[in-house]
Amino acid sequence: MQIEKEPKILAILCKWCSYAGADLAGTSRFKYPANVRIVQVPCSGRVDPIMIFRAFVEGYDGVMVSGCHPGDCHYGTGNYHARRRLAVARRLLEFVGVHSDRMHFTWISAAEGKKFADDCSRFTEQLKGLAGTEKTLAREEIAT
Amino acid sequence: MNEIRKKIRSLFDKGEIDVMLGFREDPSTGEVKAAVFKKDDDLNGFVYDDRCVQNLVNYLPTLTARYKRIGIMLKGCDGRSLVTQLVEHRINKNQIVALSAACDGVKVRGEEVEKCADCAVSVSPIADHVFGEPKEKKDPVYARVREIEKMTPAERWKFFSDYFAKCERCYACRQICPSCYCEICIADQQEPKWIEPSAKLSANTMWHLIRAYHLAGRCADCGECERVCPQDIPMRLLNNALEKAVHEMFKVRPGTVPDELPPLVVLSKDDPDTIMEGKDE
Repeated sequence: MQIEKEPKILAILCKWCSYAGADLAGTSRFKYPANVRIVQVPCSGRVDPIMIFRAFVEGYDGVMVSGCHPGDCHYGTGNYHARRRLAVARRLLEFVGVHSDRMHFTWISAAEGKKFADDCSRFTEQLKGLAGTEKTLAREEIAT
Repeated sequence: MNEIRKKIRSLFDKGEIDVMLGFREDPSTGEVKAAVFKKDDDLNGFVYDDRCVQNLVNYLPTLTARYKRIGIMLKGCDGRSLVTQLVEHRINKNQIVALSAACDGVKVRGEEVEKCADCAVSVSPIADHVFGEPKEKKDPVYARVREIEKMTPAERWKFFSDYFAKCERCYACRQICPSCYCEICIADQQEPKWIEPSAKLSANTMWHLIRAYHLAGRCADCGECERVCPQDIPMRLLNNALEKAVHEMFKVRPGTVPDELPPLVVLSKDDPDTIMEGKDE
């Protein structure tokens, strides 16, 4: 019997919008896959691309980053900085061989619990679609 | 060359510079090395030709701390490097007298250096004294980067992981880079320890990714990292890929326009979301 391997997803969410959005998804009892592990950051501007690199190296199948919609940042401009950084990080990761479907960078507001649940489901399906392809960047076996 | 020597002599005589940073030929071996000339030194040792590969800008922060005014001999690419350092307030322009001569490409052991094929600037974007006729500007084509972009993700990873696995983590690339000057490098930082110090593939991958990312929008493509690498890891490839990406997304080519801030330092409310969603390709 073939056991289908579940993809592991790291979601880095900003405290003010996206984390609250994920919270709303929970309290509204929207169903979303259990593949998502959430990390809360104060602002999407806090997301250092090294976190994303590390996640892939540690063996995550996909990384999701989300913050407040442009113009809604609690600190004014954090998400504008994040947009540029994530754009560059995405180009770098794609260049060294991470499939672009393994990254999902988006905006989710505190009212968009449904969007969070939908995005998680869609992203999980997307990663399952990559199941046959090689997982790049992942850490080598520990035993050497 | 005599024209340049004469100019340096007159700068010394007028007291406009205390030291001159340039290249000296070692008469016994015929090798060209970076050298600091003082007022009483014999300027006949000063050379400037296609053997002057090194980027001298890396020496400036040390020299500006020691001397009041410094003359420096710049190729076009070194000039870009100088611009990036001035923008980041690492050096004070008042202390620098920049001399630049039209560069026609440099050679290492008689072989043309690869970066010169894609050269965007034959003279420094900022120079107090220019010698020779600058070549017409052309946009880089990034042929090597385009080749990689045609590969599948798995092929790309195979290509890069083979190189990353060879890295010895000597950090020569970091030491030679004018733009790598954090007091505590993220690779040396112990708490939190983002990058393991041992030379193994996973940690090497982290190092090369973060090195390239930290130079995004700042790297002036002097190519020194690749030149000094004992394992010949194609680090310029990563730098170029990001230079190309940054130019496509933010219309900035680091170091070519004086006083232009690095694109990841400034923000724009008008960037389209597609750049981070990666849907435009």
